[in-house]
Amino acid sequence: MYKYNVIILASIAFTASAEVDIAREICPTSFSEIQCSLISEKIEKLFEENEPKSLDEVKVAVNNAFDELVNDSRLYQSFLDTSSIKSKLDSIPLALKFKMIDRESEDSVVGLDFSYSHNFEKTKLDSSGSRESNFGFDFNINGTVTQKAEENPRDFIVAKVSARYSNDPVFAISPAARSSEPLLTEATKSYCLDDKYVDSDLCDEMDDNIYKNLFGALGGISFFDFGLDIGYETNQSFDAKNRTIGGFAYYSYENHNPSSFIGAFNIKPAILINIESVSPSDETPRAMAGDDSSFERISYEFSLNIPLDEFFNVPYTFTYNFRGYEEVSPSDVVEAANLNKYRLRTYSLITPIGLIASYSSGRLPFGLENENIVSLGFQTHF
Amino acid sequence: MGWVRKTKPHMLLWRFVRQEHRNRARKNNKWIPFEQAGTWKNTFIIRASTNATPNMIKQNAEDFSRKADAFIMEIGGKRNKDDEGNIVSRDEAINKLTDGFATADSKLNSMGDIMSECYKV
Repeated sequence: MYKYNVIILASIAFTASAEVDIAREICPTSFSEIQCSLISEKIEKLFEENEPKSLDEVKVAVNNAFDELVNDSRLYQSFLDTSSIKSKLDSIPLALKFKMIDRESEDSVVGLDFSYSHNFEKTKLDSSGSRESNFGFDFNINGTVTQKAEENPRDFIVAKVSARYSNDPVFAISPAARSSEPLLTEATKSYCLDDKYVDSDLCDEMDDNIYKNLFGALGGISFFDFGLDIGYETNQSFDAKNRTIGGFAYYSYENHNPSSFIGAFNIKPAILINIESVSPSDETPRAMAGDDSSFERISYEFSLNIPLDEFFNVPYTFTYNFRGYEEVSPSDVVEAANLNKYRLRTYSLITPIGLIASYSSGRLPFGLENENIVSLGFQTHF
Repeated sequence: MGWVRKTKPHMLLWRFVRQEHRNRARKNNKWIPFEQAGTWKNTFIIRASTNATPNMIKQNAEDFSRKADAFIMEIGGKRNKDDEGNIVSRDEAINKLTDGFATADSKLNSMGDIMSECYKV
């Protein structure tokens, strides 16, 4: 029955295609005037040159128009001006988490997690217009402080200045958007506006096609940054210190296509890897164990952000974060003192009003032993 | 005016929302009832993170509203006229949808009046 309907509607569309304003139909209303005029101009020119007489010729003309458009850097530049792209460049500079930390074998303590970041960057669109390169400097500082420094189970504060380069996709017109499917679905629009048919499979198929044609381009997007950084690591009392210099690579993935698993559930994974040279001070646990030499270290961080709305119908977000620091070729003294590897896993549940419950196990650099802690707190941004 | 299945602009919005949330909106190969969808929270609909600030929610609402407007116009919706007889502009419609979606503790059924104000068929 469905196929039969499609054949009929395709025939209607074919018959009606001569009367359809192609440029108006293909230019989505979300586009700016500049974007629309570029698309209209290109398509009208092609129609004037080719004068298509059949649906197949229309398809060829439309596909040719999109082929030319994808190489027009003016179109991509105009997308850079839209708020959805700009939002990716925005960030919240200061985040604070006030929390009660329940330690496994010690008294509970009141703590504050803080993070501050600021960046300066210059963005340039490449000649094809499909990618943008960013060069920038970032400053980041984060850590945990408690009422008394000696009671801090995560006694590790990091400040870093980075020079960063990235080359990311800005927009891509999907193969679906290049097709002339919108012309065929045009004929079903009035049919599906009728309340009797709106829930039918045919109308779902049409809505799905229109949705993919409009937003299919917002599918999987990978972001990749790399650069050099210098850092300063310290504990809360500022007696143990590390100076670091190294290189890093950062990868994150987003998918905005609801038909994919990761897009439907809005899951955002990210990974950061650092290779760095570390110069410790005399007061670090490592130096006090007998080795105060500089060393090379690999550090990594993996994070996963999973909103639970789609899974369990609750407005909470679950996050998983794994941080690791591993000394390359540690001395026997460092290895024997178990100061060559640090790992920390943190699981958090965040509520809409900013309440956070989290569990973490492991330790960070300057920590002597692994420790399990549960914390309950409140998060706010500035 | 509320949230009424037979009011076409309301149905236009539901058709977009259900494409955005197919796995929640479609059970046993059937769409869930229109009225039931009206009780969905807008923060869920616009995919705002639980720990999102008001600015972040507003940004999500705006992104979602832009997509909704594009989809609605594509499936046959038209912009309505305001009280003075002027056609509601795209930016006005998106702003009103954004404000509606970003309203604290609001639900989808609260969007009916805004849809009737901004769109027609």
